Amino acid sequence: MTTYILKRLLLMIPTLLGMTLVLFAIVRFAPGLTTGGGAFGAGGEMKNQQARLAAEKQMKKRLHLVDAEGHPISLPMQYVYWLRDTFSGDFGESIQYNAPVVQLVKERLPATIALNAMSSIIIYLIAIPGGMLASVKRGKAFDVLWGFFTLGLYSLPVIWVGDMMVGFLANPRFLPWFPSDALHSTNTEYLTFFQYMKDFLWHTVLPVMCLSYGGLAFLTKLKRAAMLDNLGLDYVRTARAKGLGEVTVVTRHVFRNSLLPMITIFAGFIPGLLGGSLVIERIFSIKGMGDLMVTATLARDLPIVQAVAFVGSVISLICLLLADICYVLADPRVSYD
Amino acid sequence: MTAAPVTPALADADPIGTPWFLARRRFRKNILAVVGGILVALILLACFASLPWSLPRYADQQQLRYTYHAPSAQFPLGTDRLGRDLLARFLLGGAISLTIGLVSAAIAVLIGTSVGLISGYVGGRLDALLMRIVDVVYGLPYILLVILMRVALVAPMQTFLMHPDSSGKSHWLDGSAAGQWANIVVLLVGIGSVSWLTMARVVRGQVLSLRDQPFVEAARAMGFGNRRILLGHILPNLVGPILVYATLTVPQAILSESFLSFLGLGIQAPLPSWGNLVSDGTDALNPIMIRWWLITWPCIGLSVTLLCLNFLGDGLRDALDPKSH
Repeated sequence: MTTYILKRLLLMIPTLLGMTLVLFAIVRFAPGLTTGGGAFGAGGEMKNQQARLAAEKQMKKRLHLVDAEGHPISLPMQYVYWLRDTFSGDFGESIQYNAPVVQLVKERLPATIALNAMSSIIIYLIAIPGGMLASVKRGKAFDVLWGFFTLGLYSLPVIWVGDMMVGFLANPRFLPWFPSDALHSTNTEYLTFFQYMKDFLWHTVLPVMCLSYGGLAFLTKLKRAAMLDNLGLDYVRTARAKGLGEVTVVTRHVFRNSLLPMITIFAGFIPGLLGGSLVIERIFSIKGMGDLMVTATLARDLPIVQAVAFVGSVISLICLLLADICYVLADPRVSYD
Repeated sequence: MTAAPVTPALADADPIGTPWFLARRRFRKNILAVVGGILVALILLACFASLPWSLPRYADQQQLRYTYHAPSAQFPLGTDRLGRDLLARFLLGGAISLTIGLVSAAIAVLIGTSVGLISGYVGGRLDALLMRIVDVVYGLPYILLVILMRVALVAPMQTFLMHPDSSGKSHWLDGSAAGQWANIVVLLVGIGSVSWLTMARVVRGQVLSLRDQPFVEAARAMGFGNRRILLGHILPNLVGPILVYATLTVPQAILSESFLSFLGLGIQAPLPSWGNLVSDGTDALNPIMIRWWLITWPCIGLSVTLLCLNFLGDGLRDALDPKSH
């Protein structure tokens, strides 16, 4: 098992390098990298031409575009230096906030991870039984309606649903059931742990709903198809022939075997969720990574943009690894070596 | 509908006919998909046929005395903050959103099919390399990638479209038009270049199974070149899956565009798209005054289009995918 995980980890290195190469290349050729984009406006405190040139020189050194004496560094070496900085947790300084990017990322990451983790759990908890029922009742009313319902949900743009939720379910004029912004109330330091958790969960209801409903269609369909594939196999006939009840056959035998594609898809599905949290954090004013990314992009704060993309990629890779490990746990046929 | 080779009664009992005939029949039975297809055609027609009317009035229709009028006989969909007629903006926005969806899906199909064909047919090291690239891009959260490409490419593209000489005078387009076009082009390229991955994997898988079939061997034995075998013999067998994934990529691309425009990272005002019309509508929603018409129309347009496209794609998949029945 340990060897297997180690092997998977080693195999991930080229993928990670490829990802970092893409990120490095895109940002390195973005205009305004050394001048701080438009953040220092022409009329700002950097009006002084000399000061601006000095800052640019400083920035070039900081980004390892030139060495200490001012000689240009070759592109491959720039990449190596950038990798070294990034993996040692140095993402540079944010231009907007005037603070180390790593600190901002640390502040923002928990909210995004919490939202995404809760949503993926909810999606799986609904999609698995939904898909199972649909496959057992293939062609019947439940199957057709559930398929229609989830595909309908998938087609509703979250920018609408989110706005409607804020406008109607979190609005004192209509139904003030939920808070409309942030992930906790303002004076949380006086709360006990349970009160804090209650407050947190209450704040997450709407954003998590928004983040979850779109993924149902895909996963339900996947589960249904996997169930149907398995229901036609010989081992199911054997199980039935030895007199097992239909419920046992479905919940014990077919269920477990049809779980495998659901595990495989987990890795491919997290990047999509991360993208969705971009919009949801905006709508619900949650201070997460998505919100950080959008404000940074609008302000052309490149170090933040690059760091968020990097962290997002690393999270996807971790999910890929998790999916691999779960796959081994669920399917004993996979060899460890 | 014309001259079916078997009578309907026989057809149910004994499925004889070409694969395309069978697929058509399966598709027609799927009422949701057929309705979806018809509605998509109608929406496309409405948005594009009205362009000669909606395009000229997109920027200079500010009439401040009509600010925020609710829907009425004069303005069927109401007016916005600047007194512009929302009907025109809705239709033009639809045309822009749909164009972005269609063109970026076309880009994705082109890249995905080529990569899949080459990767599956050539095999070996090239295949390994291409599939690694697919893995890498697959791992990057795709919206973040589109945003990154936007950050890097919009300004150079704008400069390119302006084609300024040394004195800074632009030769092709003036500054703001070049900015808009640069935005659109980068959005198209960005969405297109991250949406081809599934397509490439599907096509590669199909090519792998087709490449050793007797008909390909026969073609090779007759001395046909690789190009002729790929384009003339293998590609026609892939039209089904390509069509299905293309149809499913379009709503995805429209959704991405609306996300980005909503966040202010896509189509820029004054040009409308369904995404930034929703964003405008959100700004107009506040606890004191609910101006519902601003957000309702683009959202309905978006939802209905996505719903129809998804049902259409789903129906096509059920009809064309040999594995699904």
